[in-house]
Amino acid sequence: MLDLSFLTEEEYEQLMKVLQRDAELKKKDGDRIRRIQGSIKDEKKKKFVTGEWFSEVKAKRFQEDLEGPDLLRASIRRKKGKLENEAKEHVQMGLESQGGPSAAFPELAAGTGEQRSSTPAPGTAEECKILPKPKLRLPVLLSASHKRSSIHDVSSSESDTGTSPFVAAANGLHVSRKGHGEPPLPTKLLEDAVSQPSNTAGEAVDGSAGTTVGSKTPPEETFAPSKIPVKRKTSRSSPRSEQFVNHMGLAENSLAKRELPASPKPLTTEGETSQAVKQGGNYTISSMSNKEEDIGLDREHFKNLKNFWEKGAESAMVGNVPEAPRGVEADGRQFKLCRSLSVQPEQGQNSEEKPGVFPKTRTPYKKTITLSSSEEEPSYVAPARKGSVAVIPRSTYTKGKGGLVTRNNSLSESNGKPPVPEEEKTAQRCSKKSRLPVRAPSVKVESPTKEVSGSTFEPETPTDELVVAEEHKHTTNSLASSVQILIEPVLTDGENDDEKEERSNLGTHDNMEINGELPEEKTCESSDKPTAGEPAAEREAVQGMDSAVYSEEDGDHSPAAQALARANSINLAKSMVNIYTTTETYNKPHLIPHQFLEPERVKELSRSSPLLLSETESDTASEISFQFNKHKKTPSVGSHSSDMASVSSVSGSVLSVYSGDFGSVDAQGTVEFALDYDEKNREFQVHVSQCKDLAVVDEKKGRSDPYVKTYLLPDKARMGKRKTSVKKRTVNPIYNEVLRYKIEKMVLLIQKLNLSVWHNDPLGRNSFLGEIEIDLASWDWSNRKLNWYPLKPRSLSAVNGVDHRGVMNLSIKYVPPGSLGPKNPPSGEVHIWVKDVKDLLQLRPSGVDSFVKCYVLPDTSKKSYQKTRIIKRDTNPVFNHTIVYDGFHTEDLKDACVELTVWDHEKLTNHFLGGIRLGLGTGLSYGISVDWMDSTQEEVAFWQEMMSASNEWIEGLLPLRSLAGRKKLK
Amino acid sequence: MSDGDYDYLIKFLALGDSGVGKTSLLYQYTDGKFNSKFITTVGIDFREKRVVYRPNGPDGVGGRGQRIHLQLWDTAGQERFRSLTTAFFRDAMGFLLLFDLTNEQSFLNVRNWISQLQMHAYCENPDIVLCGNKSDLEDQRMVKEEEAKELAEKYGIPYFETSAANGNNVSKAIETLLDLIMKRMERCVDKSWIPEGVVRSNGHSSTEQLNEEQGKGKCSC
Repeated sequence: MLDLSFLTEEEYEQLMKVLQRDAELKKKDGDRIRRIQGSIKDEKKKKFVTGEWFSEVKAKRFQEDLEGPDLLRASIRRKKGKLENEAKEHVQMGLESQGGPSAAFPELAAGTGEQRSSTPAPGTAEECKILPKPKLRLPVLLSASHKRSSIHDVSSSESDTGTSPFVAAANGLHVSRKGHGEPPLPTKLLEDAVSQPSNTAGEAVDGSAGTTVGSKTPPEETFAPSKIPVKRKTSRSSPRSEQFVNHMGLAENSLAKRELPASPKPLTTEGETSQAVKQGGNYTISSMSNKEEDIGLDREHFKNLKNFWEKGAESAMVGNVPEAPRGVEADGRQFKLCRSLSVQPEQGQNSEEKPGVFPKTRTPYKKTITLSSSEEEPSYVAPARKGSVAVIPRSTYTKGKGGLVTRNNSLSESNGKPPVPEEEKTAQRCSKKSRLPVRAPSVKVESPTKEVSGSTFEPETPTDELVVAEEHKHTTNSLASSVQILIEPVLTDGENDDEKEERSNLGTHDNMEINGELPEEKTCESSDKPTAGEPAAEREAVQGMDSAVYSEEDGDHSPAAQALARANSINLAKSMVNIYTTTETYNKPHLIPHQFLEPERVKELSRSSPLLLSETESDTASEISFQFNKHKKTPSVGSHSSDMASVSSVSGSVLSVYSGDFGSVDAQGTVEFALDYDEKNREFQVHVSQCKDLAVVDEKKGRSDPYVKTYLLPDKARMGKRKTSVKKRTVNPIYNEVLRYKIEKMVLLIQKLNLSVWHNDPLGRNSFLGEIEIDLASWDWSNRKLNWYPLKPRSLSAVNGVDHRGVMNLSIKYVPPGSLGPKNPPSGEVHIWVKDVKDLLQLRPSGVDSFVKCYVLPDTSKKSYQKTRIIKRDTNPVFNHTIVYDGFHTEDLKDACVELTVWDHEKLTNHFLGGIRLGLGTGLSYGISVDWMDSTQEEVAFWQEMMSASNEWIEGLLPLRSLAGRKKLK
Repeated sequence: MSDGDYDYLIKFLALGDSGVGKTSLLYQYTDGKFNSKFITTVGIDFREKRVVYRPNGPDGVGGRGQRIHLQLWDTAGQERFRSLTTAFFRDAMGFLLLFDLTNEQSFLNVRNWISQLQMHAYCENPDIVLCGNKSDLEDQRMVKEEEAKELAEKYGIPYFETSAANGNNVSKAIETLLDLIMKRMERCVDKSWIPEGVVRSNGHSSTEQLNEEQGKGKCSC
């Protein structure tokens, strides 16, 4: 990351213009390449003409480092964020009660600063308006925010600190309206009091905005369409309101994914607004298998229920506070979302119902509910997903919804596909049945649920409970998804079952500890384990039900949930949970460390945490990954400090990449060291002598406090890191220290030594000063002398220096909406057929147990997440797994990116093996510059070919690479 | 510039001390104009120009040339932008390294710039053309042509004395760099690809021909 703090505003603008021009040129060139790609048969010529020859050479040196323009863009964004933060920090503090959290985590504060800025300041009406714009894309976000907000309210204490940041960020658009409204719970203490004023202000503003919007307010509405987000971006960059821009920059980045949908603030008369919203960014992930579909139905119900609950909470909140207008807005948004997802007749009904029957606040919820019940549900769900997906951990609700949504979609799709196995059909029926009953209860429950939730959760430690509930939901969702995936590839394999069990165990472990308070769940989990033995089909069918039930039970304890639970077999539900847990568990550790949790709970959590931590480390560069994970996952925990939360939101986009490195210093200087292997002690020794001419981190004081750190790659976590002492106030530190690794030479020789120099910051904001990597396989071990090596800038990959990671054989296809007949498919679909991978890296002597994960960025939610089964001990695994994402408008293809990553599955850890990103590689997504939009030319060409040839399978053979930027989620 | 109707996008980058005339040189090259006022470049900028490259030389013996779209990155020479500008080094295929013939320090810094390039460019030995700029200010010259040539030879790079003011040698320098890049391109690809049955007589000509033909076909489309 570049330090651009010295730049003036004008200079920034100038630079941005240059970057813009460059982006245009790149785009043009991309178009050119796409045009000629097919017509050139001569590979050599193709390489000339596409410039591939150059990128290949460059890649040898820089791997997937960001290109200059991208780096600059990212840096600029970062700076802007900072500026804003500085300007509005105080405001935000007041609003969000972030001040508390920030104080608690001084380290984070700096990093968070940007994030904070992202959090929308409810106080200014303008801000609220503006924020929504950028986020328009994803309607889900709104719902998510609602959910979150409701959660906050209930949890009160948790929500205030931990959640508030995200909420602000997540809500961005709705922001002040709902999110703020939430905070003012009676239970809350000082924080609440503080936040309330701001909230009220925000609310008032929001309300006004909302009302206006609701009345179909014009300007924003115009933006509402899916494409709007881009416009907003431009507006941001352009001098609309500088303040906003700044805020936006951060907020956008962080929120971009989530917020996009929200953009259409005003629901106004639902029908119209909803249309405006469109699905835009909503991507529904549906696995091909019918089973999933079944689940989807259940999930829909669950989602509905969740919405219900949430809404109830929100409405309650609204009632307390004079935020009625907000509620309306929120409702409107929800409507929009729903509509956007599926522009169906039912929506109209819903909208009508809302105003007439229910209070403003409630109306939205009802709408959602109705939608869910109706066939359209899937569509509705989809938006929710997005919101949930938004990345915020808090959004567990949303995530859950998202999961539901996806399933719903899948279901809908499945419906379209006639041939379903009998089992599946039955499952579907079951799910359907369950829906109806569930529904009714949920509706009735509404009012009670609100009360219940408030009473039960708030009095006690809201944070933990809430968190747990959320986690459960997540888990359920994730479980469902994971289960689906697992099941898909013929579960009969003994291996799969084993895996499931393992996961379930892990999951239970975490759940147990975390839940602590929730005995029911624990029991369920235990019971669930046995279920693993059951046929896959059963599981699947049950899963949907179970997950839904489960989530409801855990989080809400709503009657509806109970009813569902009864309907479903508990055992099944439990099993689902277990399965799912594997993925979720990883997140939990982060949560645990939070101070906000009660001491006892913390202890409990801490037990489980170590495992998780180690896992995270393995996935990514230790520092970077860690930070990132925290950000991403922490949100789910209510207890998290606001700072963290805010960070997480930001990290989703770009910051995450750099989060480990708080500095922005260019690598320079040299390091002197020697390597030796001590055969006697079987010890690898790195004798670090000294460094020269290191970069100065603190320019004012002319100071750096450097230390040297080493890793063995590609698996950083395996052997861990070694560090020298810190030498203060010097750019020419002398260490003369030996860093030792106990490692077999045979193993050592397949490693690379990564030696990096860092500036030690007392607050933990260490700055990267340079690094060098040495391939130990080709090292001359007779050379034990000290040698000088130049320090190089960081390569952003989690696993550096691995050139060949294998090649993925896959086909992709885009099915535009309506291309197969009227409303078939209802929305565009991207089909990804992962066939096989050749020549995978082997990180462990025992072989590679690989699987493929898939996300459609910018959506990093569970809904967006799909994976294949695990192929054991094969460096040339054959997956033959098809993943379908729907909800794609044709224009979304330009802004979305399919990220396929291959992982080595170990019991407790997944190791990243390589990945590809299919997109246009423009660096921009919906006008927001993102680090993951970095597709190589090959990948871009592949994607472009798909875009230009709809309904055709495009075959591709793409080299796996390390992925910069957004960290691979576990 | 019409969209994309060219055969190659080639990216160059000009670097050198502040005030040596990078921006002016590029301006002269792309627009044929000169502005003597000194306006410091903010970080980075770029200019574009469409040229036709004929592998066999300016006489165009080779027949139809390759249509090249040049993206000419301009960088700030000021130290404060250093980290920013070096980040762009890696994206350039070739480099115009400028110094000021009337400023000895800028010449002494050439070796520093080269080491910067070696560190930050896409490879350790990128194609560079050294330009002693402001050759029109002969009376203020502080760097002898021999010195500069010697240095260039040491690094094995071409050297030109250019003048952004009167345009002397400007095109030549850039076209020389373009020639280097096109040749390198061949080399790079040949390492990994053995062209089917195409025997290259001198450098690239045969492949170029091939490319040209294909390019024509495209154009007509």
